[in-house]
Amino acid sequence: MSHKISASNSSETSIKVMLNDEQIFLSRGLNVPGLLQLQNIAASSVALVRNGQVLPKSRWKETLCRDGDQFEVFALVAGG
Amino acid sequence: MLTIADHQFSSRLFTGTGKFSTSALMLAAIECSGSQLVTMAMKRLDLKTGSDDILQPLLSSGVKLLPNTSGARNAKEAVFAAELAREMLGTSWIKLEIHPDPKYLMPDPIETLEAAKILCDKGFIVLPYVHADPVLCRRLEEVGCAAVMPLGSPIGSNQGLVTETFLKMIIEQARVPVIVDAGIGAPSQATRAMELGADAVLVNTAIASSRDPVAMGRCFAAAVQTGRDAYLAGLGHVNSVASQTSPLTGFLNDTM
Repeated sequence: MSHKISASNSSETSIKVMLNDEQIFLSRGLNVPGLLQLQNIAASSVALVRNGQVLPKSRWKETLCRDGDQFEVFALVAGG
Repeated sequence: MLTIADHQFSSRLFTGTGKFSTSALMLAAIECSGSQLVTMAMKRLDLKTGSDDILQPLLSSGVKLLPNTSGARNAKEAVFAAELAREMLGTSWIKLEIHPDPKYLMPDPIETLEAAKILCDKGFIVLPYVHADPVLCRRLEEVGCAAVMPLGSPIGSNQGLVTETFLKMIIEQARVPVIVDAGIGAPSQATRAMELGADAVLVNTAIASSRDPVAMGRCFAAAVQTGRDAYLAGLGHVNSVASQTSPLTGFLNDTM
């Protein structure tokens, strides 16, 4: 699925991704740890789903965010 | 010592992390309970509020974390949740729970068995939460589950061991540890489950919703130990008629 970038954000260096249903504009070339850092999400305690597939931590560094990517971040919460 | 898969536990009281009024209280109650296996749920992170931040304190406390698949409505979602948990914690242990019905939270046996097969094949250490169904527990054992977790009564209901008759059958037949999960509302009920020969119990609501969860954690620890000791000591037989404990020699009428 592709997303159109609004005129104000459209440039060759800007991409748009979805992170837990929120739109986020990023610089092209940012990797997954960079995205999490940008959102102040502690990488050590979350799991990431990219376009419906669990993205193993071992591949985070090499994975660059692409325009239209849909990310979901999951964390542990209290529960029985 | 209780051994599940390759892990040994000196405490047979497992706990949950839900329903505590504060994280600090939860941590204190778990510590006083002596529990060494603690279950947690997963959810999509709310980017505005962030996470509960209970993971690091729990990891620091030295307990083993047991992520659960609560929220999964079918086998596919549960397998997905287990894979997420493995990524998140680096553990292949998973408490498999699939309860699509929000009113009674009854576990779906068909989806649970299906998910258990897939997860065991993928190398997970699977602890399935199920109704106290001896046939289902046997089937789950056959597909490779490391333990079974039959319920005493509905989750969070504090009704105790409503399923006692069936728990006895499961305990009698099982070749994997039996952990009585859900519904245990009082320390005496935990004792009873252990007296029956359960290998462990999992308690959450009864501790978390008590007036003093820290003290209640301690009570459950003692109750579980008492029940285990009583089981090992061997309970006497239940008789339908009286059986004298003193000699009935009619001494009042006897001459010395």
